[in-house]
This record gives sequence, C-alpha cells and structure tokens, in this order.
Amino acid sequence: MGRWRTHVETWLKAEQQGADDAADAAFGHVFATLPAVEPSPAFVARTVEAAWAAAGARRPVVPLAVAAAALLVAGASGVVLSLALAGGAARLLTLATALSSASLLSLLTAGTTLAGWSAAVLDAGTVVAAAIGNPYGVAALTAIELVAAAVLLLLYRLLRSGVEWRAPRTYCF
Amino acid sequence: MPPTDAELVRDALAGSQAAYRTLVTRYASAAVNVAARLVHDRAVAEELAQDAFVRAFARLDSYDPERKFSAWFFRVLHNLVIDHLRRRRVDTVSLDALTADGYQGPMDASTTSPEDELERRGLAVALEDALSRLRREYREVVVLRYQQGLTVEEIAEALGLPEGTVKTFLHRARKEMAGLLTAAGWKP
Repeated sequence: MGRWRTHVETWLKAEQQGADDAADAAFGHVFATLPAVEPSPAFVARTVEAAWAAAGARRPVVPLAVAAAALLVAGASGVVLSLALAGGAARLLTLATALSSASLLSLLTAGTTLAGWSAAVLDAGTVVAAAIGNPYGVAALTAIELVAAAVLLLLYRLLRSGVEWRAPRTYCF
Repeated sequence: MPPTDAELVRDALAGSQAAYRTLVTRYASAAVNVAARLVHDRAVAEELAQDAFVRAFARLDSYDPERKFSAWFFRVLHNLVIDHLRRRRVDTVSLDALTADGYQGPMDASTTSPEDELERRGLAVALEDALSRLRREYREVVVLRYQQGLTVEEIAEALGLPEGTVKTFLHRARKEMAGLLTAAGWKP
C-alpha cells in the first residue's frame, strides 16, 4: 500500500472513531495532494498596475470635490445673506421658532407668520429678480448654478469611485 | 529577514509600489487558488483575485496592523466571490475549467516511485471531485484551512463567522468528503 493510501486510511479511521483533532491533522496530509491553482505569470505585474492606476484616478477627485463643496457653501451663504439683507430674515426666524415649538398655539401663531413667510419668499424673489435684472447678478447666479452642477458631478464621480471615508484603523467592511 | 505584512502595508501606504508588489506576490497564489476552488474557473478566479487586490489597496488605510493581513485580505476576496456567485447564481460543479488539460500538479519531487505518483494523482482527482461537491461554505473553510493554512480563528475573522461555526463546517466537510472518497474506493 502506497503512502497516500496510508494517509487516507489514517484519516478515515480517525473520522470513524470521532477523533476530531487526529482527523484534522490527518486530513491535512491528505489534502496536500491537491495542487494549488497558480496564477498566470503576468498576474502580479498586471494587478499592481491596476491598483496603482485606480489609486491615481481617485486622487484628484477628493480635493476637487472638497473645493467644489466649499464653493457651493460659499455661494449658498451669499444667497442667504442677500435674503437677510432684504429683510426676510426676521420673518424666517419667527416661522422657524413657531414650527419648532410644535404646539397648536404656536402653529396657530405661525399661521399668521405664514403670511409673513410668504412675504419673505416674495422678498427673496425680489432679490432674485433684482439680480436677474442686473447683468452682474445674472453672472453671479449663473456662476452659482455652474458650481452647483460641478459639485454634483464630482460627488457622483466620488461615489462611483468607491472611495470610503473611514476613521483610521477601523477594522470593518 | 523578510519584511512583515504590516511593514509592507505601511510602505505601500507611503507610496512604495515595490512594497505593494511584494505583498501581491506573497498572496497571489493563495488568492487565485481560493477563488478558483469557489468559482471553478481559473480565468474568473484571476479576475476576482485581481479585483480583491485592487480593492484591498484602496482600503489599505483601514487595515489594522495588529491583525493578520491574510485574514483581512481573504475577507475582501470572500466578499467579492460571494457577489460574483450571487450575480451569476452559479455554484455548479465543473472540474473541467480547472483540470481541462489534465493538470494535477507538478510531479512530486518526494515521490519515490511512479506507482506512488500515480496513486497521488488518483487521490488528487478524487479529492478534487469531492471538494467540488461540497456546498460553497464548506469548500471555502476547507481550502482556507488545509490549503492556505489559516487557523480556525483566522478563518472566522476572514469570513465573519463564529469560531464554533467554522469548526462545525470543517467537521461536516471532512465527514462528507470521507463519505465521498469511501464511495470512490478509498476505503479504510
């Protein structure tokens, strides 16, 4: 009897006897006959190249996305500031306070504030209309819209690239 | 003294392509082998293994050097293989994709005789057949344990399973393979 058959017999006997540790060790010898499936010769080079190329594609996206997001925030802040300067801030603040208290009385009170809110929206509309009437305003609004579109596009690419924002040393998938 | 996996990861994160190449070289065979045993296709196994390395590189900063790199990496590979099998809804048996050319491994240098080598190859065929008949979960733990040498703890970590479950899978897989080999004529 050859040694491989001996290995198999040792293993099968251990299994029959319920000797788990012995069966585990014996099976290791048996399983050694199975050849490993080896990668092709170019596998390592191809894989490293792919990993490096993927990393290179990701690198400019993150800082650009952050910069674009910052521009969008700045643009949105500009709009809010315009509203505030147009006098809508007080009405908006009153409405926000009334709604956050979540009481009927407040809601009833807010009902009257809704009218004020509508006025605030009209104020905002007036500001926008004034901007549209002004060529510099048109340019500013267009720039804000373009920045917003760029941010959305970069965020889309960011999400597709699979970059994950993790705390360092987090061990999880 | 060769660098440890943690040292290679540190250097790769610092931008050393050579360090990452060493890491890939170190685990390339294991990755392709494990994937091949699960998907029964050498070409697909290489693609999955490559994807696993690319994904691992993208997430290298999340690797905890206190833990074994192999367990962490095999987790990445495992998730990719599962996704692949779910997309293809395939868990069928096909020995041909791995052994179409009759490959049963290189001649064993320690073989003392042609009869011994013949016996070894016969056993390899029987094992291959039995392994391919196991359910995917059992096959995975068997290959990680007996071909890649991971401990039960490392397998549990890699597959996200309790250690008790891994032990149970190994026990049942061996029992099943014992039955299949006995039926194939390898009786005690």
